[in-house]
Amino acid sequence: MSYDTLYFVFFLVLVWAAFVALPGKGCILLAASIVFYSVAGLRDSLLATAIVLVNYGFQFPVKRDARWLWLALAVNFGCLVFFKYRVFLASAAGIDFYERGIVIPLGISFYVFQLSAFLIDIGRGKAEPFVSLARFALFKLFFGQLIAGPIMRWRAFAPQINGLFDGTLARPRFVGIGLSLCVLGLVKKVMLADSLAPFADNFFRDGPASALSAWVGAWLFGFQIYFDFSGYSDMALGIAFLFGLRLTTNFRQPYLARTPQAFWQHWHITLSSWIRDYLYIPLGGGKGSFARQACVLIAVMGLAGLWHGANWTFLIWGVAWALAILLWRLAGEHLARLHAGEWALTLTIAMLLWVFFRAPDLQSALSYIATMFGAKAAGSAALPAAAAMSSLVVAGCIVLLALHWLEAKLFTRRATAMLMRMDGPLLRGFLIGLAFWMVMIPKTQDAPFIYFRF
Amino acid sequence: MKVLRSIFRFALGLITAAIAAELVLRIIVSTPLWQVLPAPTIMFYGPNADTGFSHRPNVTGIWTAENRTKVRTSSLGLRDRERPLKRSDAPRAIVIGDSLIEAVQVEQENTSTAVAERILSAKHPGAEVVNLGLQGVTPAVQVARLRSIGLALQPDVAVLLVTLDWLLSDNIRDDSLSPGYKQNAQGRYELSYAFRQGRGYKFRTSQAGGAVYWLLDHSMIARVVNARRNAGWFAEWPAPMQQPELTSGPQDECRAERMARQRALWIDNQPADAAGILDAVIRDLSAISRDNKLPVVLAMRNIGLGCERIADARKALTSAIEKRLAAAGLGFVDFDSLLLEKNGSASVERLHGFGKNLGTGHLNIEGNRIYGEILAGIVAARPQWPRRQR
Repeated sequence: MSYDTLYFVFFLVLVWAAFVALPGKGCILLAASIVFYSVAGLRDSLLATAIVLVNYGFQFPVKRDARWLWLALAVNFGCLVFFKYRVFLASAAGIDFYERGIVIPLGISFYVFQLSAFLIDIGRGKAEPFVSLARFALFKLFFGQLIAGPIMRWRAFAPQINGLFDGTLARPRFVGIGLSLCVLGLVKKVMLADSLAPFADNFFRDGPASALSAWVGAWLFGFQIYFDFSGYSDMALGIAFLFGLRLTTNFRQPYLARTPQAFWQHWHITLSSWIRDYLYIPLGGGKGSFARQACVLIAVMGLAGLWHGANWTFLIWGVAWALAILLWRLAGEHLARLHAGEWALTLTIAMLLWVFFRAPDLQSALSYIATMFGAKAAGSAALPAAAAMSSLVVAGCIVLLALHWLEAKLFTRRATAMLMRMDGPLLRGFLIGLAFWMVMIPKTQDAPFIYFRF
Repeated sequence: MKVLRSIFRFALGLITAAIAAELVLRIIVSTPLWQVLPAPTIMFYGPNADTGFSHRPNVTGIWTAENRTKVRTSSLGLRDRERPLKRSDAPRAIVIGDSLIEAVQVEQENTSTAVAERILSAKHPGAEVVNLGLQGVTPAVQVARLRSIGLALQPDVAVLLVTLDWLLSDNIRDDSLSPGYKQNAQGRYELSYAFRQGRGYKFRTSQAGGAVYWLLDHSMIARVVNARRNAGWFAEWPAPMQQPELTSGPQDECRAERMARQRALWIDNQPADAAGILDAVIRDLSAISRDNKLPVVLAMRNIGLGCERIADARKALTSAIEKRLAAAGLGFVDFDSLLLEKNGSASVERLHGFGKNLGTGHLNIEGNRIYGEILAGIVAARPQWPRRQR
């Protein structure tokens, strides 16, 4: 189920009504989550069930003896490799599998990462196994974070899950804030991301006709993916609030970050912190010589890139980010003297690297980037011929950045306090009404959340 | 009391949201933002006693499917530029077709009829080509459309762009939404207008229906609700995920089976039911042509484009169609051949679709340009053009 659909709104209303009116809140959310995921189809549901059951079984031996962890991780990542990377790995090894049309199970990257983090935490003594299968299942299957995160940790989420089942979790107090986040997410997804998608697609499908159109295309995609994924994450947070749960924030206006490192502290935060805690630090990235740290950083960022998909473009995207971070480590002090220029440079790098993320293959990405720097046109996608219209497009690009800045103003303590004060039937009616009208507009083209495919 | 107050406030919140949504959509529609942001699609069809439904006059809005365009229907209730019903001294042609001719996916000046009009008026100043395109029309509706608004326009030439497959389709018999051919008590096929007795039609022509259309013309959120109703309340429900097929079965690109069915219809009068309807279509068009001294040309498409293997069968079929129509005093044009000639190849994908859907769907600007040139050629080739004898 996709959050930006009318049927999901009906589903949510029904689940919320049952949650408020009936006892057994944990069971209600678990049942709802199972229904939610089952829409993905039998194959995906069976796989998710199997992985959840296997991980449930592994938590006890891992608690007793951390060596079991290796087997558990082998199973989890084995599944991920089999379903997501086998064609890529085989073709990289020169083996020709005639199975390029493989369908990746919905949300597999997210739930494998969350469950693996949980098992590692048990092995490290930082988490306790769930005795109850229902609690364990809800820990992973809660429909507010099942398909595209945020990747929740045991420390943050397990007490809330236990509270739900024990009846000790406070009644939902932040319904107004939850609804506001849902509306914000819908605005980002329905009004912005889906509207930008055809234009960004056009530049990447046909190739840019000039340097300016290449930069505009990259810029549009940069904002499309931000609005798409952060919109989803806002809705996930908002939905959790409706049930008295609190998920980890996944985005904090990344395009306002001054350095590449800061960008990754504001973009897909739960994945960044996962990589930091379970890859970068254990591999010794935080200590040792610069060369060693650089190697570890390049390796883990390359893996972070590959997490997004089995393609060389993702690998290069991750590695290039690692190089940018290293550049700042070497020359950060000098770059900091640029003040706003440092931010502009980081933003430019982010937009430039999105080309690798979006382009269908390495060759297309390189010719696109060459066009950005004045080489011959990679294709025919141009800005409107009329100067007024093309100025309007450029102005629109600036407006996108302004919206991003404006969004930062929404996430202040003051704004939250104001929302809390205003919370009541009037505000709730207004927000529900807005959400309803946004999902009512029929989609003129199929535009699923981008991160659903990861 | 407290509960009632809460319900009232909640309802007030919902109403405020509806007003806010209306305002935002109005801003989008009335600024260049309509080209980018979500906007409700235009609802320009309404009831019509002759054709079941047709465009309502003077409706303005945005068409959002396939490609975004601003559409305005004329005061005559056509997807056409503004023009008087009464003709001037300049020659006038009408083109009756389906959504390919209606062409709401492109701006008015890029429709094939507008292109044809520009070409023809270069030689005969003021020459007109009127767009009588209407989504999903069968030959039965084309006959009804020619009889009604078509004749009222007093054209010099009428061109009917007919998709051959419609003649064998069940839709040509269906009179529940628009006219269809039915057998009467004497066994004769006649146009039947049962839709006029239908609940839907009665509602649409009632005062309540009028109020709904008024609302659709004046409220953006009403258009949103209507568009949702048409698309389906749960239209986004995901289709089951399927593994892509690794191999595909053999496909007959020449579509020989379809050709065989058309040959059976036109040459062997089989199946009898379809042949009866075909007779009725030709009979009615012939009567209109004769009674009004109006040259009627049937431009047949989808006969099978550029396929060598069935070239002989195709030739026999087109020859049979031409002979049959000529005997009834009707003109025939092999539209596919003209398209092949104009396009330079049998591959017409570049003429259809927009953006990432290039190759499928309705005619794009280039497609309309090519169709327009062909239509201009068809009209100009009539001996009665630019002026028929009255």
